[in-house]
Amino acid sequence: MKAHASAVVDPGASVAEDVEIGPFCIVGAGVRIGSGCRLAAHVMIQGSVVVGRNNVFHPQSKIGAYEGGRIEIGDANVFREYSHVDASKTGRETRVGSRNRFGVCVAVGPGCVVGNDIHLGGYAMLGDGCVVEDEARIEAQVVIGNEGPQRVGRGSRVRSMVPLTEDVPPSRIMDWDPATGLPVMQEFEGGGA
Amino acid sequence: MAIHPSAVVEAGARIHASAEIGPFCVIGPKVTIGPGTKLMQGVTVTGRTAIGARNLIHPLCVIGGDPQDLSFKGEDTTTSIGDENVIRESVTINKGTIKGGGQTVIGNRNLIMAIVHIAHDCMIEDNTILANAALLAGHVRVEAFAIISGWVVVHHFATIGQYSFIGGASRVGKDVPPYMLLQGMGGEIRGINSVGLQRRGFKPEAINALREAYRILYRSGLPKPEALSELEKMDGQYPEIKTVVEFLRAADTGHMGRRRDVRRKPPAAASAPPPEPDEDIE
Repeated sequence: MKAHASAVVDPGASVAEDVEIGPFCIVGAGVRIGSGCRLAAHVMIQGSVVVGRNNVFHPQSKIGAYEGGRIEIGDANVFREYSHVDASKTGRETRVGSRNRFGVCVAVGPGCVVGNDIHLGGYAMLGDGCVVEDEARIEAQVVIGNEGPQRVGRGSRVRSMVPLTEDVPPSRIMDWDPATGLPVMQEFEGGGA
Repeated sequence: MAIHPSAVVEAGARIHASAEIGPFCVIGPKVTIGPGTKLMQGVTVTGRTAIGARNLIHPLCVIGGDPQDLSFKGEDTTTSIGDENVIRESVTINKGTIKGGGQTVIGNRNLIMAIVHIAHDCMIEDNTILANAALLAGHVRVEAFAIISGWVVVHHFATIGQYSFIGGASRVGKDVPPYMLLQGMGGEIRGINSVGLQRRGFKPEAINALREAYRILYRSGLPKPEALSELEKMDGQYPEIKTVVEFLRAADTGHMGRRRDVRRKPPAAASAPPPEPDEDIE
């Protein structure tokens, strides 16, 4: 572990040999971080969190199970600035797969299940217990699961700022209909992530 | 030079004697900070980033971070910020990508409010205002004196014309002509930025001419080429009309009404592997 002198790494954390930890990071007790991960400055990982290999945490990102609960993160994810993953105190563990890209300020709520190869645009939010299946693309400022858990199907795409009124089945595109001012769902023939 | 003892300034960073670096800031080795610039606490500046004079950068900003683009493979691209900008809390500014020209540029005297995101290869001119949580995707250009309201999403490669105004929570999908006002999820042009133009000292005749131009372009029902030739009859008198016509003609040269879209790499040959997916959803 290559930790900056100003980083706070709890002796109870298990961090692989080649992990880089930047200035002012906080890694709490009970955290496990796999090899090849990189934590830039001001990153916070606390609680019962298991992080796989080759993940990149940009400055100010935060993975926190402060008040109980558990978070599991796969391999080769990118967490951009201020993105955060929360744990559920009472419900199921929060699970994030592999090779996902989380944009700036993305929020992954407690108990969410995020698959693999998913892109979440800036400021996108997943509320409590949402499910996002593999290869979905959720663009900027989309709010999902504000009023209860929602699901975004495999390979689907939600265009920026569109409010989700219902679950999105696989291979659909949710966009905004300028004529009616309401969200519309259509078949989507790929071209996504 | 006032550098707080808790700040981390890596060897190689060049910080002017009159700049101030607050507590818990992290400054990378290729960073240049000019005279009178002040970084409040917890600001991270990385990459090959040059910050000019007398800027005020509020807490928790991250400047010069890696671009959120799949083509990025760790190249040493740049970010440059001019003078006298105010950058509020938690703003993110990414550096450029090779395919986009390799530099993200912010001009002078801009006000960039909290949690704004400025992606790779963006070009912000002078005296603009970006309100809270505005999000610029890659390669976006914002011309001088434009105002972008809160929670606006701008599609990659779009150009925001000078003195234009984007209303709150709008979605901008193509180039916004200068002096115009855009509002809504469909990115409709709703009128001209008359208040902004008055404040900036435009003559009433010029404002009226622009209002007429808006009517011809968006309310007369004329097809766009005919509307543009109508405008060309007016443009001898008013340079503003000429600017609008030139802007719209340039926008048509790009894909989907975005002039900067020509910066996209050319389509790959049939034998080549399929191009990488667009990664500018930010």
